[in-house]
Amino acid sequence: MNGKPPSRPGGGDGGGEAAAPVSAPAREATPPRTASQRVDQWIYIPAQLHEWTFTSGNRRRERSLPTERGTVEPPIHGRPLTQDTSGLLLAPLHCLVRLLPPPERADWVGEQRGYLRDLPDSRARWKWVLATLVGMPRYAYTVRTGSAKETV
Amino acid sequence: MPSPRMTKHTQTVLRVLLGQDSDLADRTTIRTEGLYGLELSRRSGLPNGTLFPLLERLQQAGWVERYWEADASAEAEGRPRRRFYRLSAKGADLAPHALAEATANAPSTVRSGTLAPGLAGGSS
Repeated sequence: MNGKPPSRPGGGDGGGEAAAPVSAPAREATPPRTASQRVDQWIYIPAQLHEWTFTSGNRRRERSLPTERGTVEPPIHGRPLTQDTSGLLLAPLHCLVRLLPPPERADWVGEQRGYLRDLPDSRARWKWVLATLVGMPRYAYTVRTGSAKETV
Repeated sequence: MPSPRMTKHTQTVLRVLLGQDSDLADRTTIRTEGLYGLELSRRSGLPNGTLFPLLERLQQAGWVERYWEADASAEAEGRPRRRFYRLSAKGADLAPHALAEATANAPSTVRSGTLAPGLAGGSS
């Protein structure tokens, strides 16, 4: 009871003082995030939300940890389709695919995924998605009703 | 299943599927291999919101069939599988006649009794 705090085994009284100079430079070594990194993070969040919303339980558990961002595979031409872009582009299509009968949905999404992959740049992809969204009710009507009312 | 309605867009798509979409195309031979949807959209000049309902109608009429490419070729290139569209045997048989008939009937679509543009005061 001499008023001093008990020293840790294997360490002297100067242990706490010695740890401070080590931890301070380690904290300073982490560079602050740049503006573009912060923007990337905010773009990344909707893609993660999309995965959480539309993937099944097992896949959600597998993907729950953030994966390293980057290109999936290089496309035939144009800029690569990143995982973020793919998620953002496919999110509205995943919503609208519910208009189709269940047997058609997987094939349709697979087909659209191929088109998005092969389009040359981001602008063309978004244009394609927009045109698909506009035409989806008509397509769904055609698929569901057959051609009886469309023929002469 | 009755024949599909031969609209202008239908004729365009059928010409592309038949391989008659350019002036240099040989009109006696019919394209046998399928066309990728993106290529079909580019050649026909139709937006996908118009093209795919039309292809669906043609498929329901039995004129067009669609198929997936082999897994091996897609995996070799590291991309998703592509879906191709081509004329079925029935479509290859009927489409040229339907196109010829539609082309022949095109000028007669103006109903008799309707006004047509002409010279003021009569031309004859």
